[in-house]
Amino acid sequence: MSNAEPAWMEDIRGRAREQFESMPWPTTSQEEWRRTDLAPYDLGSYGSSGPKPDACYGESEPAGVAGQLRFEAGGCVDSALASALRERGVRLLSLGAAVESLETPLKGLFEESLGKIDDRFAAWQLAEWQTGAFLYVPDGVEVAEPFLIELEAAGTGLAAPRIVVILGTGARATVVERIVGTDTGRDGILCNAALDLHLGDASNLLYCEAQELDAKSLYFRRAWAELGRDTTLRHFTAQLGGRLVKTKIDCALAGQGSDARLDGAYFCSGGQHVDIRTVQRHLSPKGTSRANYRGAIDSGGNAVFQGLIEVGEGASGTDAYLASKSLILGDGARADSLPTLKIGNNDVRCSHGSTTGRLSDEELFYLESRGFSPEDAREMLVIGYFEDLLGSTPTSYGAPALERIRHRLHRAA
Amino acid sequence: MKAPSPELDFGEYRHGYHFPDESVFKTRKGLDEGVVNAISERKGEPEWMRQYRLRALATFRKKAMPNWGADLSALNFDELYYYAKPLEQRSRSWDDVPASIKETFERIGIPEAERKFLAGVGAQYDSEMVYHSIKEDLSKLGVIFSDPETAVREHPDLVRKYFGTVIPYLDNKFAALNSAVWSGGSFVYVPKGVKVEVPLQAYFRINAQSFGQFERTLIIADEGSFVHYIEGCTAPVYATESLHSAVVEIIALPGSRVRYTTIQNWSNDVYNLVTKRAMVHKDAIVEWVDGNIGSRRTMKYPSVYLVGEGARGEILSIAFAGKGQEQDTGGKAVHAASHTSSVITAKSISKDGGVASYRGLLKVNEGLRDVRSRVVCDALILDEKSSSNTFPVMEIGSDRVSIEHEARVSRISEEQLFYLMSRGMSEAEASFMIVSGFIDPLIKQLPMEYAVELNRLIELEMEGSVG
Amino acid sequence: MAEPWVRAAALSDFAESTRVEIAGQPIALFKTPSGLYALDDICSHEYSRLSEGEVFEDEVYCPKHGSRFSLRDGSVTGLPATRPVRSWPVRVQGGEIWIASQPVER
Repeated sequence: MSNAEPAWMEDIRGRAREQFESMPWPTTSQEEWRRTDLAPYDLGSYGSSGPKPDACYGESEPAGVAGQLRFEAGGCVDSALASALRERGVRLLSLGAAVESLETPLKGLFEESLGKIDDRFAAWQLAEWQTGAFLYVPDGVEVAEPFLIELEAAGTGLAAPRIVVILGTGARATVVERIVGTDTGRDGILCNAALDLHLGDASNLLYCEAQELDAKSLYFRRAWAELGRDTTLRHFTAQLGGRLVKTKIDCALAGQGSDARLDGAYFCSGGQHVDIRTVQRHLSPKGTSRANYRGAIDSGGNAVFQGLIEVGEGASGTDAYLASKSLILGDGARADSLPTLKIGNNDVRCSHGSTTGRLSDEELFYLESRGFSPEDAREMLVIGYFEDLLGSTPTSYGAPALERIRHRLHRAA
Repeated sequence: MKAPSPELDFGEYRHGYHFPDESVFKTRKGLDEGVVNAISERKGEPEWMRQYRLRALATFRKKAMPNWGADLSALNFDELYYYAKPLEQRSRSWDDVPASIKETFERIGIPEAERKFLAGVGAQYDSEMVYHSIKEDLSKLGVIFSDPETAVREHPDLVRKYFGTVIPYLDNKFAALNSAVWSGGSFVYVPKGVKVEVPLQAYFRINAQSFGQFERTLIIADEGSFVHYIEGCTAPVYATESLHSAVVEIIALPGSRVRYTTIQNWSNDVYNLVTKRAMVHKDAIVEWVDGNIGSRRTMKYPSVYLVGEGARGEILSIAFAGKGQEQDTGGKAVHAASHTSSVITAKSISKDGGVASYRGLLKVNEGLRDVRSRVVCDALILDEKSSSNTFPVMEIGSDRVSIEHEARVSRISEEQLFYLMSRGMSEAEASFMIVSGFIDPLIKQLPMEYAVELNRLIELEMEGSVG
Repeated sequence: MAEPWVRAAALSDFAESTRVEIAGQPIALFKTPSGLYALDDICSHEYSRLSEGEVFEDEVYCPKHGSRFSLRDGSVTGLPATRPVRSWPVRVQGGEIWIASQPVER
């Protein structure tokens, strides 16, 4: 374990480890895990993280982006931040480096995370995180180009990346995060990732994350977002790999007038189990939230989507909507959908919609009659289905995601 | 004729009255083998039914309470009576019905003329079919409409073939309870090709303090037949809890159609925990129309299991949750065959702190084709104190399907209210009109007398909500 | 025409029902007055073991929700299950029970 970390961090890890020891792995008798059975997986065999967290400080000058952090097999291989931004107070460093010198605000945030631990995975993450990033954009600073964070996970064992983003009042930023794995022919990794977003009043964040692990790896992800007054968050996720994927984003619209959009795309093929959960939590008046998730499930794939809109007593004027679409691409696919509403205030507009179906026979026929082969026609329709959603994200994010989907479609066909 | 005693005047709630308990035979409080054996013996049942009840009792003890749904923590099984038989002999004609019971019906407000529309009336007073008569045309058609006890004795083969095949006693704790102590209810058999034009109805009442109500209904519609069964009930107000745990099984054989309508208006101390399920065969149709207005806690999810090709199920549910009430209702559609369709429409209204929750399941088995389903949930929350939840689950295992689900939560629109009030209506009248419009799809499906009663009830409730 | 048979249990090993594993498949074995029967052990409705269910008149009732299956062929005779379970050929020889390594064709 790390020996260069400040005492306060080691203390928090210790307390998280205690919680980890005191909890069992979740079972299907718990509501959140009812549709994902962990029994077939030997979770204890992935070990602990081992190497100490990287320290990279964003020294070099990036090209075409605001800043960049790249990790390979746990080690930091590239860290860059535009000097113009650094001069204005922006910080992009590995979380390990941030912890060294930024007790304020990180200690407070880690303490909060300790308090939010609600299952063994969250405790495990907080105790064992190694790689990770810290992005800070101060009050009033607006950054147009994206910040890129890339993690290439290979081999075996545990990967536990943790990302913390803080936006000051009126700040603006875009982040593209990618977790990529390569198939080494061995057992694959267990990736237990966490994302913590703290968004000041009137700030604006576009956060796009993509997961493209190999077909043997297990992926667990928790994301927490806390929005201030008049804050805008657009969060986009693409789950395009992994053998077992279980993610949850909990978005708290704590400040009045905040606006959250949670979009997601997932592709689930034979042998995969994908379980995605979103929470739109309205705590204050006049909040707006939209969740829009699209999945494609191929033969032998198993996908679960659970989306919750929760409106507290004080959240009058809430406008919330959730849409979930599941495209079933073949026999033997299974898609479960659980859109849920818990509404405690009547001055609201809340609704959800969920549709499940297959590619339109008419559209397929139309394309085939124009000379496309059945496989190409299918690909066109599936890419079109996802393009609607991915089209409005940065090219550095949308294009590789669609490419990956194309690749998976061909492997599955 | 006994008049209700003055201290039992419950004011504006016109159903809030009861008569001193005329039950002739009542088991002691609480539940054990002795009580179950006494019930079975009292009914003169064959050995197989007695054994069935005892196995169900063993299951009831083993099963856990549901860890989801409405709050049932105040329910105390040891404090309930599980059986009471008011009369030694069943009446055959209206003239033989005791005056006090007739008065009950008078007070509910069933007009004289209404009785003509009824094909046969099974009136339940404290768990037993007191009055029962079958009109001659029904008998001629071969339709059987009786209490289940009589059916067990007179049609044992038919009963044994179907009883418990749709809802086994192992299904859940309350099905086990009902299977152990069931008493009264209806047994309906409609022969092949027979269409029963006039709805069959039954009324229920709880009347003994802390009394449980466990009617068991079994409806078998043979091939190509049609029947509409209506169930509506009222109960007096009591200080201690009452439990209503019914089981309704419907078997719709190929080509048949069954419509089952319920308007439930139990008083606000009743726990209404019901299991209702239909097995729908090839080209058959089952329609559940389920109105939940009263009770303290209701947990009820009428279900359709579409087991034959071409089967269709429709569930129309309306729930009204007022002060102190929790309506946890919805429906389930399980598609186990190709070329099937289901529609679930659920509407709820909550006010004065009431909680209305929709809970539903849509399941499509693997390897099916041409399965269509549409679920629409609409919730109206009338004030800031009240709340609404929607917990739908969709489990889709086939690709040749079209599944749509949508849900909306809102309150009475200010614009609509303003518009109606600017036309001279009071706020109460305007609210009532909007709410009326909201539940109109359900009202349209009810026979006229129910539509009228339901409208009156909603009006009464709305009057309490404004000013 | 012999298919490979696997020795499952001794007739005296159990009273009414037990479970065994044949070719990696969990199988419930039933002993009734009318004969011996073998079915898939896992209920087709929800995860539950038929070997732990009650047996009446050549039907087994799943202990979780009471789904009924015919012991003779695994067909559904009572809800909430809507799909059958597979039935496996059984043979007794010299007090030993043998189960075929392939289920009965549906």
